[in-house]
Amino acid sequence: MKTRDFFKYIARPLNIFILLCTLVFIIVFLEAISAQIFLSLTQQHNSPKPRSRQWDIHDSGKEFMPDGRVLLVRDEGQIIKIYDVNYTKLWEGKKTDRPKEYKSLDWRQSFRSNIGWQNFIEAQRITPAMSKALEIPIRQDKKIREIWRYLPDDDIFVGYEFKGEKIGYIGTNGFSQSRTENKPFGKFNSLFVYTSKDSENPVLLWQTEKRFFAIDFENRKTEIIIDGGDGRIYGIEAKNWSYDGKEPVDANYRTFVKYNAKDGNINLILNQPDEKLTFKTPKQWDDYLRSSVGITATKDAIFLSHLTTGILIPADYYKSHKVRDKFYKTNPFNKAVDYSTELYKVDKAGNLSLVNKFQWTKPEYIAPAQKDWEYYFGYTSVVSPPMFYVGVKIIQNSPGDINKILPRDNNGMMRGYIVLITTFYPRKLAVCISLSVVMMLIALWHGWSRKNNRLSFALWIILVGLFNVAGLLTYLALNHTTLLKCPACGKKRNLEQPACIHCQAALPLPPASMVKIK
Amino acid sequence: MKFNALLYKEIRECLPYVIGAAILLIAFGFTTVQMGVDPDTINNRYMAFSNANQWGWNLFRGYFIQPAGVSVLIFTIALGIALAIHQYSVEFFVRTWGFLLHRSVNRGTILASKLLAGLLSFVPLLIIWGLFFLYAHNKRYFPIPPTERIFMEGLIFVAFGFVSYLAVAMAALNKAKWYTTKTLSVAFGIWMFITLAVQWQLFWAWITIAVATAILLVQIIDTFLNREFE
Repeated sequence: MKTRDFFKYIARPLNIFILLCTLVFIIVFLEAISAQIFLSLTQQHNSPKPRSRQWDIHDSGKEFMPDGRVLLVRDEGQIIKIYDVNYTKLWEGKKTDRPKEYKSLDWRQSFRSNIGWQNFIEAQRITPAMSKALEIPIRQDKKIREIWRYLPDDDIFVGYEFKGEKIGYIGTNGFSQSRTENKPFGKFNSLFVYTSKDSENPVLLWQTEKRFFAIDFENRKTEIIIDGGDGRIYGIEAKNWSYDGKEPVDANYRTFVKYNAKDGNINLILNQPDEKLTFKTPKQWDDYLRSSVGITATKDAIFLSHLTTGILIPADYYKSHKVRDKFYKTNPFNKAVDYSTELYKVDKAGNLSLVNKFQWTKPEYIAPAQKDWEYYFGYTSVVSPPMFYVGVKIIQNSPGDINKILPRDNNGMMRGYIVLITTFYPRKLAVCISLSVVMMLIALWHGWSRKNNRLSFALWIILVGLFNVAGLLTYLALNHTTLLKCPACGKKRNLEQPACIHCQAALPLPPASMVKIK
Repeated sequence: MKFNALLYKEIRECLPYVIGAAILLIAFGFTTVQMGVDPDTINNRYMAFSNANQWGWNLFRGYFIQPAGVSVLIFTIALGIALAIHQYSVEFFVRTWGFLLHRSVNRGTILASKLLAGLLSFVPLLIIWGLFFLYAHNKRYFPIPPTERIFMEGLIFVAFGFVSYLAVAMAALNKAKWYTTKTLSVAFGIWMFITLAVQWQLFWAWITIAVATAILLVQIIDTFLNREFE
């Protein structure tokens, strides 16, 4: 095989592939834009919800007092209004002036922000602005003394004095002079930043899959707060947190860290006094939709709040997307929904005792039908490749979880292409297939007289069928040639083909003429 | 020998562009990096920790030589485009392809000399990036040194400059006139650029560069060996 033929055989399929992909991108982009334009032109504002006492109760915050009483609280910016359970107003005024007798239990977490593994990946992306580093400055007398930088590949921190001299490393073992003496933290999960009252320097609360560390750069030490052993830890919350555990932010509350373990137990590590508590919530709570649990600890008792709806989760809800789709098509939250919130006390043995319970019903409300982007995309997506529909079906029916097939360590590109397919697949398959058939007929009509090879032509028609408009445009871009009438058989033939596909006659030559040589 | 002569010719023609890009890179890169290591700027850089409201994404910061890296990307892409236009489009414009192809060498040799000259043109920018990286280890100006990964990212930017060169060269050589086909390779180059920008592992970034280079090279070789030049 000649070199030029070798490249020709590789270059042609690559050319088809690039052109097809480019056209598919352009077409789905135009589909999305068109749907958005239609939506913008026809968008209407929702009419306001009807007002009633039931709605007022539903829209109010439900807050428990330490003695178990329930207050309904309406937050209106600077002003709050407090009602009893019969919706009789008790007090109205500025938030800051809230009377002590209406001060409810505080369920807030201590940490104002956290960084997840997605942020870590985002920071390491090789964007035009290059990747970023997590750098922790340590100050002394308002001046930067040290900088600690996280090394993602080594999963360890390296410290420098402000003028570049290396200090050492901080890992699981705490501080070490050399990298080999220290151990990495383990698979990163999330990060909280905390600054104690006594210091202007941050402490990182570093959660890995199995452990939770406090990394104190100022004192160059690492403390393991939670060690999940072999099991995964999740659902970490920290209340009234102080790093050294001695000075809680609010003196009426105890400091603690809560986490869920692999066995489903909720674990509390409390201070003032030091105490560890493990308990389970009733299993039937997991049967209801939107079931959430909050925990707080005052000096006198440990409280647990539970909020849930009366909507039962269908069987296989977490396993099958079909079950979930079918369930949400019934619009369960448009109907009247029963809600319940309960306050429990948790004793030393981890038993829950009900203190109070408040139940209310959200009235039925069906918002006026609103045409959304999905509605218009249903029409514009008919030009999407039918192949996308096949792709969506394969993804939906694959037994494996996409997060397991493409774990977080995988690059984001494959996931991006999967999102592209699952977002832009044709919604009206029958119309899409009909359009594809029309595209195939156009390609057939165009190519019938131009075909050089019957097998190649058949493959092109199949490609057009699979990729709809993008397939037809690819076909036309790479196969359009001028036609001429064959002087031998009179049928139309491709100008770029030396032999007529119908009669095998050669291309006509220009008539010979005499040339006079002077 | 004929190949060497062709290569010298191509390098000689590329030289003004390379020198121009190198001067601009040094000027822009150096100026922006120096602005970043101003003591006030450094202090502001770490102010995020003094205000709890800013915790979050602000904890991640660009490296001190990041502005030089951005300049490397800009000037390597610009150099790639300029070289490709000079080596391929201008030959059509001034109708000199005939003279070039009329030499007693085959087309493969001519193309190889052009491609190799194009590739070598990026070496000075790579060296300048290396010098920036070494400069960033100067403790007098920079509080902490950059990591080796940052050097590799700059290397990837230079490699992408060569990909942009190939993409524009392909667009210049392509004789197709139908809608997207003439500039298809440029669209492909943009696609590869986006693909590169979502990578967070160096290995996959190099794979992206390798795939893009291979696809464009095959297209260029096929087109150059088979097309007609007027």
